[in-house]
Formats: sequence, C-alpha cells, structure tokens
Amino acid sequence: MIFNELSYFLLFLLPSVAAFHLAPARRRPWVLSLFGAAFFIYFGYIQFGGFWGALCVSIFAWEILTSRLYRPGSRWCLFGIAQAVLILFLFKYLTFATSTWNDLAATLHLPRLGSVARWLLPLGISFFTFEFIHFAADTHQGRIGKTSIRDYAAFILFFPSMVAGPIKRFQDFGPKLQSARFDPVLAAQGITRILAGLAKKHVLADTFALWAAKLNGPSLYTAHGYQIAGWIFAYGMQIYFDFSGYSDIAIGSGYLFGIVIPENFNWPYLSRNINEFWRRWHISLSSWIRDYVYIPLGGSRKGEARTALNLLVAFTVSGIWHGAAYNFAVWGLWHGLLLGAHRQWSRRLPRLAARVPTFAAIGLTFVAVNVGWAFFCMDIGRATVALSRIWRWA
Amino acid sequence: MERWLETVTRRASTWLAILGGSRPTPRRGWLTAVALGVWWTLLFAAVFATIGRATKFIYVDF
Repeated sequence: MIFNELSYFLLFLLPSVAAFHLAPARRRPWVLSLFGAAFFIYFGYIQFGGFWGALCVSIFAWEILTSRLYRPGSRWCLFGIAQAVLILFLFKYLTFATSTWNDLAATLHLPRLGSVARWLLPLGISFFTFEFIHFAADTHQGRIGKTSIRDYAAFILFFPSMVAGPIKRFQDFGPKLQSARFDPVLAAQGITRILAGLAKKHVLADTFALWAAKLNGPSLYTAHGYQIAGWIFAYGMQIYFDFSGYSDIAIGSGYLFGIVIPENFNWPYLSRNINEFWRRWHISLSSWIRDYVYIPLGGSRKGEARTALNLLVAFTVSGIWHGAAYNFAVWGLWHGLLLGAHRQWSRRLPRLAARVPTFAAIGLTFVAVNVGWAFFCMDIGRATVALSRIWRWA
Repeated sequence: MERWLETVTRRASTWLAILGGSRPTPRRGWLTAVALGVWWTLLFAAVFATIGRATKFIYVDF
C-alpha cells in the first residue's frame, strides 16, 4: 500500500513539498528529515507492527549518531556495515535461519534451536539497510568526504524512496539536495509520472494479477501447460508494472522536490541477453549488488571459475534479499547460472552470438526470465510442478 | 527490416517516456498545457475506475 493511499499524498507529499520549497535552503534537509520520520512513524504504526513498528524509527536515529564516527579507513565504518547487516538479519532472517538450522539438525542429529517467531518487519528495512551499508562502505573507501548530519539524515529519511527504493547513493543525492529548487517543468513531469505509476499499478498490474493469482490456487494441478505458461507470463507482467509503477511514483515524488533520484527500470523485457536485462531491471539494486557484493568478492578479475562462483554468490544474495525463503534463493541461483552461461557463450562463440536475430534474442531472454519468475512467485514445490507441466505440455 | 524496426521502437519509446513522465514534453505553450491536462485527467480517470482490486505493492513488504 502506501503510495496508493490518499494519506500519502495529503499528509506527507503535498505538505512536505510546500514546506520544502518555502523553507530557507539550509533548513530544507531538516524538513525532509522531519517528514521522513513522521512518515515512518505513521505507516510503521498503522501497517508495520503498531507501537513497536513506529518505534523502529529509532534505528534511523542510531544510524545518524553512529555515522558521525565514520572516517575514511576507520573501523567505525566496518562497525556500521556490521550493525546494518545485523539489523537486517535480526528482523528479516532470524526466523528463517533458525528453521533452516532445525531442518538440518533433524537430518544430521545435531542439537536443535528453539523456534523463533517473526516479531515484526520494519517498514522498508531491506532498502534502508542497503543505503546504510553503502554509506559506511563508501566512507571507508574514501569515496564520500565529510558530511553534515542534516544532509545524511535527509538522505536516509527521504520518504519517497524509503519503503521500496530506488536505492540511492549519497554522492548523487547530496549535491541534488543542495541545489534543489522548484522547477515547474520538472514538477509537471513529476505529476505525470505519479499518475502514470498509479495507472501502471491499478490498470495493468492488478489486471495481470487476476491471472497470476491462479498460480497459487488449486487450478495449478488441473490446468494445461499452456495455461500455466500464460499465468507465469502474467506474473512477469504484473511484477514489472507493479514495481516500475511504484518506482515511477517514488521518482515523480522526488521531481516535486526538485530532486532527481535514480531510475530503476529501462525497458527490461526488450533486453537481448540476461546481462543486459540486469542492467535494465531494478537497476539500483543490481548496481548495489555489483558494487558491494560482486566486486568485493573479486568480480571477474580472478579467472573464469571464480567469476562464475562470484556471479552465483552475488545473485543468490540478491535472491535471499528479496525474501527469507528457499524459493528466492533458487530464483537468484537461476539468474546467476544464466549470467554465467551467457558469459561463456558470448566469450567462446562471439561470432555466433552476434548472429542471433534480435527478435530471437529478446524472446529467449524473456522466456528465461519468466522461468525464473516461477520460483519468485511460488514455493519450490509448486514452481517445479508448474514448470514440469509446461515442459510436458500437459 | 531491423533498422526500420529500430526507428519505430525508438520513436514509440520516446513518446511513451513523455506520456509516462520520464521525459519532458518536447514543446511548451498553452496547447501543450491543455494536452497535458487532458492526459492527467485520462490517467486519473483510469486509476479511479480501477482502484481497489489488489492494492498491495509487491515490493513493499521486502
């Protein structure tokens, strides 16, 4: 919800845009921080865990305080990365990790842990922790200089991108925040973008959802393979219009402040290979995974075998980031395998690769991506049934 | 064939980007303002007519 609720526009977006442009330039970051904190408390309270959900705003306060200790090369930056990972683990993965351990323990006759029920999932935790990690890592590397507390607070509490991205970079956001001014052309573009995003969600995504919902219903076991293929295709369209619509509303909201935040999508289903797809789908996440997981692991600098392993690890991390469940890990693994295979194909047979017609390349990439969506929207058992029925065309 | 397709795709994507708000309108003036107002009304009407079917955004719980 949130972006398609009237309260988002009436209580937060419109008042904050007005206050932001009326405030003197040096106070504007505080306006964003104040509205961001109020936004988190309000939606945290009503949708993400009541009183405790709202109290999670203290995570931001703690992060702002500890970030004051970060210096290039400092151990405090490593502490900052560790605490962000820990926050994400405790809130999102502890239940999954203990149940996985208990499953293993039952097989290997090891001591079991007590089961941990998920307590609450703070609003936007997967996204804001990645921004915390980016800031600490880049400060450690010397890529971010001295920052003021007000600019950093405005960066992490910028509410249009707080819940589901795009995942921002401080080096990009800071200068835009300082130079932000009301631009009527950009504001008109922002309104168009917000309305187009809402239309993508309600007109298109919700229509495709009617078919995609059948994947998690009883008809999966009685439908013909071509119907199941159609439903998976519908899910592929649903998730595209849903998430790109969401990103449009976030980016359009940013335009109203005079701040251009990064794009997240660039016609991903027209990609000619899987490598290109990941440069056009959820761009802010894939570039984050590249910079903070794939490259630190060695990227493509340590030989072919290690590159393949790094791709698998990076995309499995990306999969698990999407959800604490095995099916998301399989989805990530599938994309890691596809990227590894594409790398070998384009390096070993470059002439043949160049001769594949554009139509065929786009179609093949689209089918491969949709096979992956089966594991994204269903558990492994159902996804296997779905894909095997499509394969047998029965 | 592919060059022709590329031209069509490029023009279509430019217009879709303008209609979606990713690019500014190519011209300014009262006619553009009227066209934009009509487009906003159409989008708003489409959203209003279809709102409330499956309201949850997939990525919000992540």
